[in-house]
Amino acid sequence: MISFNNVHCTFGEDNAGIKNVDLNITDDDFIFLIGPTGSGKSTLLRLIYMDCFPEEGVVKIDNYKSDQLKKREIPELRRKVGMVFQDFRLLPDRTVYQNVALSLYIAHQTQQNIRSRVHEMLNKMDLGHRVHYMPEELSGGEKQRVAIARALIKDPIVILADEPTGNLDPRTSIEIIDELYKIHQDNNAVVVATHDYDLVERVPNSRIISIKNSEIKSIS
Amino acid sequence: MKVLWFLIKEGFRNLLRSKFAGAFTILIIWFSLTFVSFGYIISRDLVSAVNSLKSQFDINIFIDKAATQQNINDFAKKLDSTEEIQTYTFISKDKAATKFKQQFGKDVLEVLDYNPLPPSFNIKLAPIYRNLTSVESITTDLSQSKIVEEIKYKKKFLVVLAKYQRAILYGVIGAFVLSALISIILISNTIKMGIFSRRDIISTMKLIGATDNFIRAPFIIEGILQGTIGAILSGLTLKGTAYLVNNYLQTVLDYNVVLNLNIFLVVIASGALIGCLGSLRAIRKFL
Repeated sequence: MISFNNVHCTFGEDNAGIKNVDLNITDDDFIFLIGPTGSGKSTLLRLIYMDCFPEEGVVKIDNYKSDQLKKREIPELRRKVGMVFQDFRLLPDRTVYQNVALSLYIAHQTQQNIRSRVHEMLNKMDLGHRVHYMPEELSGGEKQRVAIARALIKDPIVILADEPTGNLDPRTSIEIIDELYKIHQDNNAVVVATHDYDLVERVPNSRIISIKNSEIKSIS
Repeated sequence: MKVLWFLIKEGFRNLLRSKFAGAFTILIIWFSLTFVSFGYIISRDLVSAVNSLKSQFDINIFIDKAATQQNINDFAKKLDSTEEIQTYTFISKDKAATKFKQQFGKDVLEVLDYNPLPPSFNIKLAPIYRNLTSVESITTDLSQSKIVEEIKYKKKFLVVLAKYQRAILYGVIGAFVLSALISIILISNTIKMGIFSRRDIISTMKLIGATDNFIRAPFIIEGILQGTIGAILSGLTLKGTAYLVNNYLQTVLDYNVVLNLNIFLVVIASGALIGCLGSLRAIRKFL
């Protein structure tokens, strides 16, 4: 489903990024990208949602290849990838409902479909009582669950979570990882970048990719 | 259709978010369009007054006293076939003497014992030929005739009118272009500020798969709304001022403001167009 073939992508004078990455991600994967800050975890995720492009090698996502991708195809690709960020990236002037519905408006869904799917998703994420709340009225954990709902409602081929627990307390962090694991059990591939090694143990049978100094050190 | 409605709502939302900057832009468009519209109305009425003056313009062609009736008839036929001439009147020697008496109160035959006044043709041109270039061309052509002794017309009158007409035209065009440019730049700057303050939101929307057009559309709608609201206010100002002038100041100013639906439609279309151009200018640079 997702493959990296000898991918090299670096930035700046200190050559931060990733080098010589070969990797395959399949439908039934739950992957932890583990490594210190600046090791290249986020770059690897950005390469999947085509926010940056390899200098060498090819990244393939579904039928999209990084070396053949046209600029107008990037939004199409991103509609197939669900993204969750450390800082939640919710639209501050929209309600919980509107934040989640935005993904479907972008995908040109019908109003009726949007309404039913958003309510269904928010109930599933235990946010049914927060539908009309603004992001500033939510706790950190709730904000991240809204972000997960927004990512998941698109029926993506993979959920990418970049330090999803970075701004959360330990108990809420565990709740969010458990939530992502539940999503994985519903047949979704999940890739989580984190530097919190304790979280890894929460997910049985996950693959752990250790990245250090821009290179993959181990895959288990 | 659903997406369009969503984008229109987003445009309104953007407009409400822009608060003072948006209100200031609407104010400038309002003033600019009102200023230009009044400029247009006043110049339209001035041009109409100038045309009315021009309708009094005539050319007098004096005929050689030795010309026979046949020569005069042939010349009249030539005038008939000249398309630039709207009407003409033949003034015989006797008729000229009668006019002289009417104007000066004395009979020319009693003063001089003979009638020295030549026969003449008084010509009125069709409206579009009442300009110096056409008049010179027509008079040159007619002066080729052997029986034409002299052609007289008020050249200075035409030159002065043409000068005023040009000045009015350039003034209105200049004012419109200047106002439109100021409005476009202001709208563009308001939207640029809006884009800058919402750069994080725009980046998030791109990450969840929004196309460039999906992101641009609300900003274009915001510009069109600013322009249209400014134009509607301008239309209301025109209507109010016209009512005031026509009902309370007409006797003082001796002027009646005539407005028609076309003026309102042009003002609103101009506002929307200026708004659209302003927002396109902003998003071309920033998105």
